[in-house]
Amino acid sequence: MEQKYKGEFAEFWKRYRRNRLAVVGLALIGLYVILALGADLLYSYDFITGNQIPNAFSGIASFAEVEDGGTVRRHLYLLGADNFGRDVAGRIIHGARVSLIIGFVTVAFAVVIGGSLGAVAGYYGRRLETVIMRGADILLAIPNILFALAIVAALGPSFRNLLLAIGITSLPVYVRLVRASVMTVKDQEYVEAARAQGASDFRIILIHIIPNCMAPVIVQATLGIAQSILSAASLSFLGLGIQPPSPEWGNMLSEARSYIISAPHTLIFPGLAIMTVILAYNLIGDGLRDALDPKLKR
Amino acid sequence: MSDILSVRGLKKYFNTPHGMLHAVDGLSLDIEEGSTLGMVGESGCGKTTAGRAILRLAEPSAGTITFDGEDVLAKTGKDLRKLREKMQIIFQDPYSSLNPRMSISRLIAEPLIIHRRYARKADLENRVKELMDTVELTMRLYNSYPHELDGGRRQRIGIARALALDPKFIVCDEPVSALDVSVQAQILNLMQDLQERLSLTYLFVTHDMSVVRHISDKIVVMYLGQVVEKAPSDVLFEEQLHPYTKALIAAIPSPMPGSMEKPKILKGELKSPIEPKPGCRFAPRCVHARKVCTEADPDLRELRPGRFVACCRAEEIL
Repeated sequence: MEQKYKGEFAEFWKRYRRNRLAVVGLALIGLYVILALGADLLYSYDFITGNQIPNAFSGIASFAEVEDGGTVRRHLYLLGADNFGRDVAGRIIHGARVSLIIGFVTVAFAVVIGGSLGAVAGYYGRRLETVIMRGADILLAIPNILFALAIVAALGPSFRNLLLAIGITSLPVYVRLVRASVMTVKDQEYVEAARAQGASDFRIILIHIIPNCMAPVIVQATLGIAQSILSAASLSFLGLGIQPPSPEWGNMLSEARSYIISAPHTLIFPGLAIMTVILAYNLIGDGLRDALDPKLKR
Repeated sequence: MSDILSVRGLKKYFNTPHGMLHAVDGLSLDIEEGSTLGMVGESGCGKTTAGRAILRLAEPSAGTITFDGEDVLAKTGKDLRKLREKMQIIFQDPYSSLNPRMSISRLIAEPLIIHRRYARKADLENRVKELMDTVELTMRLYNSYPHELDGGRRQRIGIARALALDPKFIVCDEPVSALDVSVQAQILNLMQDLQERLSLTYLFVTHDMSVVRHISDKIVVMYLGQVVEKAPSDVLFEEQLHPYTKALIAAIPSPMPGSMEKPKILKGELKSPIEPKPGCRFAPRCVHARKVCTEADPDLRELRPGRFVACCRAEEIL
């Protein structure tokens, strides 16, 4: 089976590569991942969270004396400094660790759990569907931020609880989406054919239905990643997400809000970081959707 | 030869907002092993539902189905899935019955994977190639996808898939009605060859009278969920006992314009199968209908040896 999988992956990559923009998206995410992994080598964590108040609001590409790990050295503020004189570039790179993980983990959680619930509801219908869908409706009825707030407040602010809170609030969208797609696909004749061959319900859902419902889910997921990063930022802003002085793109934005006129670079660069990551995920999503559809193969 | 399939009093009702829809209403039939039973009737007469109910793709409301000495309706879960190895189906629409995300080889391999027929991948591949050869599909298409193929080739995939598990019995649900006439002939001939080589039994559901004549040994004619006539194929085309069958045969287009005076038997349209009134279902459209027709459901009775008809006035109107 291993051999076959490799062959399928090579085929998939060949198709994915054809979409230039999707490759650009993948390269962008790759770049952020590499930067995030190497963040400690570029900037020490103590330096980007510590106080450098004399250098507050240093401009883009300016040099200044800084204290780093007990020694004083000249430092290049590539993207300027914020209100505490901390390096914006360094904080973005360290913040990438948090933001990339939040975006990916919460959406993966929501797609897997929400998707499974939606698939079961759509496939079996009847009472099970009623229970699952009313549950999803209840989640939808509570404002996202309020609900996430409640979860974090109840469980205490920690990174894991933040992921859980955002993951749960983004669940119902996928439940509804997957249920709707499953309902249109499950009456197709090829599903009946699978049943006639003796396939189990589990196999029918996993092998025959889900792959044919993925297109809208992939699109929604790439948008959802952006949503998650922003939700995390809102929670951080309210003091229930990533706690300052830890860098996170959302809380960088909220801190920089007050200086939008006097030091726009403190706001623009974290904003650009969020924007490019979201754009990259969207491009990847489009590429994935096309590459997974055999009809668009040639 | 003995009967491989016996169906008695099969009913399939659907609950609709307007009442119970009697899609199949007391169907009984037997199919001899290695033969083809043609099932004809107009659209909406329940012939497709009957085929699906026999395979339990639609759960029957009542009746008994005995296949190869086993009670089909008593099976559940694993036993039912096991039984499906012996009873297969070929679908009407070769476009929607193939999963668009699976390659040809994967589509044909799927039933073999489900029933874990082969432990080694090479054996599985060999079997898939053998099946492709059986249905005359070129190996070039091994890794192609259904949307790249024409209707005839797609239907060959459907046949190969149905044959994969070496079934004894196949329900053919209008397998050629979505195909061009020239392709229809190829597929029908292929199916007949396969029947001889693999000693298959077919239940051939169709609305096409010339197709059913070509392929069937015996024919049952359905009207609104009930069998109205049953006879050997060649005899049925010679002489019809039921007025509805007469109308069906008379409706076959003739190659000679004006060569035949068409008897007027039918009037009106197909009545609704929801909560049908007792009595002959065909009576409201039958020119021979009398009061007796609407009093009780006519039984299917053997009027001549091997020929059954469900019409109270069959003797009088012949």
